[in-house]
Parts: sequence; C-alpha cells; structure tokens
Amino acid sequence: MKATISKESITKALSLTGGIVEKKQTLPILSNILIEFKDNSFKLVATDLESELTIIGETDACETEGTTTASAKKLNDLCRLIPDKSNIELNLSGDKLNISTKNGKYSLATLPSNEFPIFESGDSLNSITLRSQDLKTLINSTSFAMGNQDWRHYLNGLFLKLEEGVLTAVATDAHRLALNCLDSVSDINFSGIIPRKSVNEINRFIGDDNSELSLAINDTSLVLSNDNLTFKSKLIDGAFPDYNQVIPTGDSSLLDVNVKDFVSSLGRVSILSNDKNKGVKIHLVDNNMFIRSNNADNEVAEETVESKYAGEEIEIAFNVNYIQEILNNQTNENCNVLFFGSDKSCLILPPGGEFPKYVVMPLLL
Amino acid sequence: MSVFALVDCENFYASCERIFRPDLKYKPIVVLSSNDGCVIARSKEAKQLGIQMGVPWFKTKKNFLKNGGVFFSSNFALYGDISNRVMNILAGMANNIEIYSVDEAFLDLENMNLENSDIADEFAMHCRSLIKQWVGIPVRIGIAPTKTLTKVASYLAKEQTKRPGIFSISNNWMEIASSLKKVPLHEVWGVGKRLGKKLSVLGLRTAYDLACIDISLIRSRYSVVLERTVRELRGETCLQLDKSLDPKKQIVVSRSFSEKITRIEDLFPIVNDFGVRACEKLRKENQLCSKAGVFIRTSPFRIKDKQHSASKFFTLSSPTNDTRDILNGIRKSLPIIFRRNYPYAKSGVMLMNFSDTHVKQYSLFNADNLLKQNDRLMKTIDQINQKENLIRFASQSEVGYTAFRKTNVSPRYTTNWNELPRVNE
Repeated sequence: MKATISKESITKALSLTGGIVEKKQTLPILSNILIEFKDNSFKLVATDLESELTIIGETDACETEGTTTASAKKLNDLCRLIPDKSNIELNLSGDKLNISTKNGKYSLATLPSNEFPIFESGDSLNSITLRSQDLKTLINSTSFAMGNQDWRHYLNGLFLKLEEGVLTAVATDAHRLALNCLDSVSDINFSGIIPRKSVNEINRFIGDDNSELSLAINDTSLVLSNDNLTFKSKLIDGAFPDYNQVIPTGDSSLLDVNVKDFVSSLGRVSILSNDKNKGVKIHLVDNNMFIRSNNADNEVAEETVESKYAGEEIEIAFNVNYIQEILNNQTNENCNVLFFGSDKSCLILPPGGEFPKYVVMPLLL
Repeated sequence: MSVFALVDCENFYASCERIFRPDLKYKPIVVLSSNDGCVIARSKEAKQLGIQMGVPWFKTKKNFLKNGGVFFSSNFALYGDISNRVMNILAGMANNIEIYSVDEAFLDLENMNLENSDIADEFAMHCRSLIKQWVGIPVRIGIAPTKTLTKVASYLAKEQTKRPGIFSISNNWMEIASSLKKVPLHEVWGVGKRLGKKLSVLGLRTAYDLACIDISLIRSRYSVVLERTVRELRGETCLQLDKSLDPKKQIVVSRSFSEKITRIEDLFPIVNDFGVRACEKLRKENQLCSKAGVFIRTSPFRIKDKQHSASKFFTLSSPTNDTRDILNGIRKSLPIIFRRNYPYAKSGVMLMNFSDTHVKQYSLFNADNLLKQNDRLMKTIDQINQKENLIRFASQSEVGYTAFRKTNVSPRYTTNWNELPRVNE
C-alpha cells in the first residue's frame, strides 16, 4: 500500500473519525483506524462497536492499493502538526506504516485490517433524504435534554420517529422534555432511539455543511450517508416513554417574555442559587415577573423582568439550567411560557407556534 | 484578636474503658478494631510497652498479655455517649464550639486576653477538672491565637510537668517561635509524615523552620492549604471555627465477615442488612440519595485464597431514602459482581449524591405522591424500630447481621439499661 495525500484532506477525515474512537479500549484494534487506498481514493473507518464512521476522499496519487490499521490518535496528532499544504506519503512496509513528508519520516505500528470489526447494520433499511442543516436544527433544538448515564437506558438518547410524513425528534431526562418536528415528503414510517454519543457525532460531522443526507433506520440501526461519508449506529434497545402523555394540557396562564431579558436575568440570579439544586423561584403577578434565588450562605438575589402575564398569581421553582438551555435554543425574540400550577410542568413554545416544544418539571423548594 | 482552645481527650477509647473499671488504673489497655483485627487505641502504659498504633492484634497479643495488659473489643456505643457528654460540657464553656472528631473540639475564646497566660491556664485547668470530675475523661488543652497553634500547644501540653495537660501560646512571636522549635515538622497539623518527608528535602526539620519559610515558595511548589498552615504557625488567623453542620456527602455501611462467604445466597441477607442500615442513617440525616452502590472483596491478607474485588453502582430514578429502592438496586447489582466460590471477606453498601428531603425535582414519569407515601411508611418503620428492631425486610438476615468477632467487649454502661454497672459485684 502506497499513496500520497494532501494534509488538508487527511486531517479533516482523521479529525471526524477520531471522535468515534474511544480513549479507553477493551480491544487494541479499536484504538486504530482502518485506512484503505483504492482507485485513487482513500477510505478511513473508525468504530467503537456501537457506531462506525466511514469517510471517503481523493488521494493525490495511489501507487499501490492496500489496506491497514494504525493508531487513530497518533495519526491524527501527527498529520495535524505537519505544515499546511504539505503532501503526505503513506507506505505500508511489513507491519509498519511509514509516513513521509518533505522533511520528516515516521514509522507507526499497525494491526492487520482483517482484524478490524465490521459493523453489521442489520436488515434492509427504509431511507429518506433531508438537508443536513435541517437535521442539525432538529438535533440542536432537542438533544440537550437527553439523559446522561441514566439507569433508564432508553432516556440516554434521541428518539427519532418518522410518521405520516413528519420527522419528530424527542429527548428527555425525565425532568424536562424537548420535542421538535420536520416535515418530510415520505410515506415510510420508522422510529428508533439514537444513543447519546452517536447524536453528538452526527452533530459534529454535519458541521456547516448543507448537503443532502440519506437517513435510514431499521429495528436495530441507523445509517446516515452522503457522497463521501457514511455513519452507522446501533439504536438503543428499549421503548421510549409515551411523551405525548406528559405534554400538559388544559387551563393555563400565559407568560410572554423577551428571551434575551429572561436569559440574562436568570444568569445573574442563578449565581446566588443553591449549588446543588440550582433552584430559582419565579413569581408571576399582575404583569410582573420576579425571579429569586438564595443559597446555603443566606445570600439572596431578586430581579424583576418586564413581561406580559395573563393569569392567576403563581410561584414556581425550577432548576435554572433547564430553563436557560431551552431559552438558549429559542430563535424568536420572545417566547411563551404556559403555567398549569406551581407543582405542575410548564410548557415553553415560540409565540404563536407549536414547535419546538419544551416541557419542564418544577422543583419543590 | 482570635483565641482558640483545642480540647483533646487523652487516649480516648482506653480512657472510656477505664471510667467504669477503676481497677485498670495504671494498667496497659488497648482497644481493638471491629473484628478484633488490630490495635486502634492505647493507654499511656500500653504505649510505653511499645505497642504500635494499627498493629495486628495476633502479632502483639501474647507479649501484651504477658506484660499484664488488658484488651477490649471496640464498644462504639459507649465511646459515642461519653464523647457526647464531654462535648456538652465544652458547649457550655464557650460561645462557639467545633466538634472536630469524637475526641477533639475547638473552642472559640474570642474575649480571652492571651497576654496574661494565667487567665488562659486558669480556664484550661477549670475545663480539665470539670470534665474529669463530671465524666471521668482526662483531657489535654492547648490555647493559642490560631487553630494550628492550638494543635502545637496541645502537643507541648503532653510534656508539661508544672501544669500537666495544659499549654498556651500568646500572640508574641518570640513565644510562638520558642514553642515551634520544640515541635517536629511531621507533628504540625496538616503536614503529617508524607508531606513532612517532602518538606525535609528543603532542609526543614521543625515547625519553626516551616513557619520561617518564604510564603511564595510554599504557594508555588505546594498548595494554598499549606500556605494557610504556615501563616497560622506565624500567628495569623486563617481558619475560623467550622460551625456549619455539613450534611454527610456519603454513607457507607460495610463489615468484615467473621467467616468467609462463598455463596451468594448467604451474602444477600447480609448485604441487604447493610442497605437497611444505610437507609436508616440517610433518613436520620434528612437526605435523599440518587446514587448507590454495593461492593464485595476477598481478604487481601489471605494471599493463598483466590482474590476478587468488585463494586457496582446504580443510579436511582429519582432521589430516594426508601429502603425498598436500595434493596431493589442491591438485588440487581450483587449478582453482576459476585463470583462463585470466591471466599468473600468483606462487603458494603454505599449511598451518595445526596439532596435535601425538602427539595425535590419532580419527574415527568413518576407519580408525584409516591414519595410522600413511602416517606410515611419509612418514618413509621423507623419509629417502631427505634426502641426495638421489630420490623425487618424479608430479604434481610433473620437476626440482623453481627459480623464482628468481639471477644472482650465491655458493657454499654451508659446506653443500655440491662448493662448498667452493678455496685454489689
């Protein structure tokens, strides 16, 4: 195997695939990346057995075709530090991968490519196409509410459902829930829970690109691909909770507030909130919103935020982080918060809109 | 100007045993750890026999008993009660008190004039005689302008012959320096043997050497904690009394077994017992936990045995202090870490990630009244079990696990009606 490739091509591919490789490995081969040269193109594959990312690019010259595996981290660190616009020659000699640049020679240990695990994506998959930025918006507006190392493993991911031409993303850690929808021209149906790590990886490799993506899901896996990239991930085996049941309905009091004012007030007040529960109290009365916090050192903060509130007086407490994360994902100048009682969840919506929809459970302080 | 006193009970556990056994005055006494494993407390006479702290009991037993020594298995019910009595007396002698450990407390003596050493000594003597008379425990008292210097004073009080058990240091640098010169570096509070060894590379030998060192060097090469110690040694008050009753951050109930356990059926009731005890402690603290764990291990001292040590943690759906939630977690976790035919010697249950019971994050997927009902049930069980353990969980061991091998435990003289000392015996 011998080929020459530009620094820019390989470092971009290596940095994307590097995210998949876990720092602590159970099998030595999993810290490696599969490198293949064929028909003037290169292929890099990384896997953690739960997901796999393949990136295809062009080489400057491919003298001999071949395949091997080498340490993803060392390769990435090395190529990143090679001067820009350099050409990098990769040459497999015995069990060593020799890397040559204009001024340097490096020899890396390899493991045979036939030991590299192949990701099985299961039965045939139904696919839809969508713009990558649409998918990114869907993920960004919901994924922050995913569970993290929750014992209910099905909460540690993003639920994606395509039904009646609508692609719905839902995330919840049982304290808050985020839901967003995207219209899709398709008559197929599928659903699955994408693991937390895979969601973050998808977000990472989409970046600013707005190409057309193919998204396919079957019972066990997800495949996301475009012309030069294929990402496969296992799905979380489990039933996602019935999220429609926890979206509050019935009589409510509406608060209309400027997002920027609300966020900045919360930021200041939260400094004096309890470190453990991050609780802030919101007191709504006669078009006035008071935000209060205190902590174990008896320090107190209070702010008034200009807002429109039509409803009964209410005092309700929340973990400030939950509200801040939701507000940071608002694209409108104002947002609507619907209150259903001081011990009931509240609903956060864009003014006059239905999505993205956020449900937050209160704190009992 | 700040003035602190450190009241330190001398050879506390051994002194507790002596209160009701005046015949043991001047006899060497050692108190052993749970399971009678090693020496955890020694009387002055035992120290003179060369008995080291932490030495395995089987190594020293023969020689100790031959020299007329008396040993006791640990009796924490007695020690805890005696400690409370001492602390109650101290609480009446100062506006503020910090209970530092079972046998040590700092007192805030803010209005005391340290320039006149007679005032400090008089207070210390009064305090010492009161505790001796009312409880029967000898104490050592160090008075100084900083907490670290009270430790120095307490160390020097050991050697006092004129006024035994009492030493005070004023705010005068000459007096501080002459005291510090008599204290080895590793005896300084916050230094210890390991750090002392590192500091000795800089040529430091005594507390005085440390007090004289360049502060910026300490901060850059060590830590702000050590800088605080240096400043305190110089008489600058950096540490105030810690009056906050910090809630526990973790609860661990663990025991070494008197006999090795190889079957999970035998292990489950014992570990469940630990879970029940841990939850009782958690409820006493008015806390909820959102993470718990169970651990098991074989004895690392029995090198011929097959060795295994493992732990498994589980996150709870919402913060809880309900025993059933913890037992449920143990039921799922223990089989994951247990290996058949390994001679397990110790296990335990850990509770962590605490939050207050009056603060609750509502969950989207739980019925909100669930916790309240559980709360009432657990409170009722605790109330019933307070006097006598009448209610137990079916998965617990039938009689409650008493793993300790206690070959010579003294009666719980002050906490159990049936074990009161008898005059006619």
